[in-house]
Amino acid sequence: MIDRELRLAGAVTPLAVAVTLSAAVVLTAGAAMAQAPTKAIRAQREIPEDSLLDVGIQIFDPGLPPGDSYVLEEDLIFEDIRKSEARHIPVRLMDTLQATGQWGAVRVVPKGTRSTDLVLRGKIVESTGRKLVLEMRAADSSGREWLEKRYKQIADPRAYHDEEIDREPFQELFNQVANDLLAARDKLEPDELRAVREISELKFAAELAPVAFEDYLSVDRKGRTVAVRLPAEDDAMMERIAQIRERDYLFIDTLTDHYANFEAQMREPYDNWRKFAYDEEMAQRKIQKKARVQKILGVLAILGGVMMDGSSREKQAVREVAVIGGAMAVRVGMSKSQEVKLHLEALRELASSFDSEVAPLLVDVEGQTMRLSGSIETQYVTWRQLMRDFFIAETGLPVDPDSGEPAAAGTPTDSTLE
Amino acid sequence: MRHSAKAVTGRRIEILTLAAGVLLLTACASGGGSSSSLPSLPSPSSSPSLPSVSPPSAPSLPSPPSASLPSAPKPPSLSLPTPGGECKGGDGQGGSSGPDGAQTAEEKRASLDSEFDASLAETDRMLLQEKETLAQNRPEAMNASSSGGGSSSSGSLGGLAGAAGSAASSGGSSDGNEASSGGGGSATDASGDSNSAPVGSHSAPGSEKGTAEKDESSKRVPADIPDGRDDDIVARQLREAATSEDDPELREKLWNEYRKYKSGRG
Repeated sequence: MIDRELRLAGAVTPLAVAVTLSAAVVLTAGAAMAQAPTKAIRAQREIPEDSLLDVGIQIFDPGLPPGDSYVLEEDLIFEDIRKSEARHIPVRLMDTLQATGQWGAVRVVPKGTRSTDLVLRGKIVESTGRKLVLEMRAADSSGREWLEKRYKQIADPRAYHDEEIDREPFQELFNQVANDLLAARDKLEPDELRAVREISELKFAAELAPVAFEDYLSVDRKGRTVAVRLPAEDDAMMERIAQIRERDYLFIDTLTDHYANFEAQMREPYDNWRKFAYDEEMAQRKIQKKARVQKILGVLAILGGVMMDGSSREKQAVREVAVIGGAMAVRVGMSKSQEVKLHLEALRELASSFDSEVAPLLVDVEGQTMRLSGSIETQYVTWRQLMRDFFIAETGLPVDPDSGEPAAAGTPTDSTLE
Repeated sequence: MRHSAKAVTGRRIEILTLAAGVLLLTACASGGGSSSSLPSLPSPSSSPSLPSVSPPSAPSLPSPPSASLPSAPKPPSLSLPTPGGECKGGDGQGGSSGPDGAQTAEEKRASLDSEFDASLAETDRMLLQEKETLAQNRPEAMNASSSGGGSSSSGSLGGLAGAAGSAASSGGSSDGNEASSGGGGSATDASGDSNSAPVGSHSAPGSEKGTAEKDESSKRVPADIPDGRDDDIVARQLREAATSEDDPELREKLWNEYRKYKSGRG
């Protein structure tokens, strides 16, 4: 009898050890994703003007999977929060890049903004209070790809619990992006950086005055834009283009201010949501692990009880305890699963409260930026026409009024007045 | 808009060409004047004068040389030949063209330049108005925080735009110091924690907190400067810049600019 009990104990012990080890693996799985602290590399000396590239960070793709909002909420993806984050994260990234002093003007721009030296695009793959995953791409005005990488970070818990004001939980991720951009830039020679600036300028000029500047650029075999010639330093058309470009900068500055204002207004409710979401997620994960372990142990106990020899009354009692105890453990595990659902429900409630606070701000910033973009676009139409008229007046070359290209010989044009 | 502008411009040029040809035939055929002495015509871009040259009022077909032209509303710059048929050219009557057409091109360019300048000025006005509205509606969160500012001020257009742009772009330093000079507790926390913020470069490291900060800020405001309650957006930005400036010389210059601006506004 003693031998049998010993054999049973010998059979159960490895199982218990295996379960304990599994639980340990589950508990430490999250730690595998943590990253070492990363600081953004700041410029130690002044960078020459012609090596300073301007950076345009486009509003991010919110990464909303297809499906209606109810379906998304089942996966704890909230549409308005994602759309807000699609503006919040670029502003935070802009602050990070500006703080390094490694770049020229860094702005947040809507999609389709005219040529800047370097354009940064991002997509939110996953965003909870605990974890952020972004897909980032960067390319310069010549079409050279600088970056194509997925970044992820587990939130720095100190940002939520240490009462530190304005500490971004995912700052390390932004620092890593900044450092990777810097590493890509440092691979280029100063001449190449200068060429990027020249190409940006010529692309802008060609868009405004194609008849004058289109043939300054061409595309090489790698599909990259190259400047085949440069305008004279005192080129009158380039001076006008430069004046328009100054207004374009001011327009983009103004758009960036809109996004920055929005980000500042949504920061408090967003930080509250993130903190709560982080706490809820951590609690939920704890409960889930406990529930899992409880269920596993309960099942093992039931199995063990079932397999036990119930030939004697004592053994019968032990067997019953094992089975009943195991069943109770399973029930407790299941009730913990119910707790998890309550936490999820709390998250949904908070997201709904965030929506009611931030949705009007989101509508407002989208409306303002569209209004401003529409107004400036009207000016661009006028400027394109004026550039064309200047070209005709200064060169005397006929221009096909339909295509804006120099007309073929003998084509009647509107320059017959002269 | 682009197509309609082209269509209108083309139509106007056709009418003007026709008018020039008729006048030339009428005037020069009678007086034997030079065919190159065309009356000056308004350039296509000087649109305010063009509407009066509309098809119904265009000069009529050639009439007997001694007949006067039908009276029709004429553009201010259009100079008609004298009844004697003498063709005048290039003598400043509304800028008639010279033999090589250079003056006409010059006028045209001048007209385009003024239109271009007007469009730039309109854009400046619109964007500055937008920036002022943004600055007025800037949330308190931005004033208390060293981050969340806009981009650098490249592309700003002069003093007013620069002031608006730098206030929007510097975000933390001037606004943070304004908040600290106002004595807000959150500003104290913000400045104390600024080293951990992403944009730490805007704040002076190790800046003092609380009352020491308030004393420091009050020392930066000269005694003759009023409390600024009636400051408009430009005066407020000058005040912020002066208060946050560490260099005493530059600070005094900024206060002088503030004084000049306030006295100029009355």
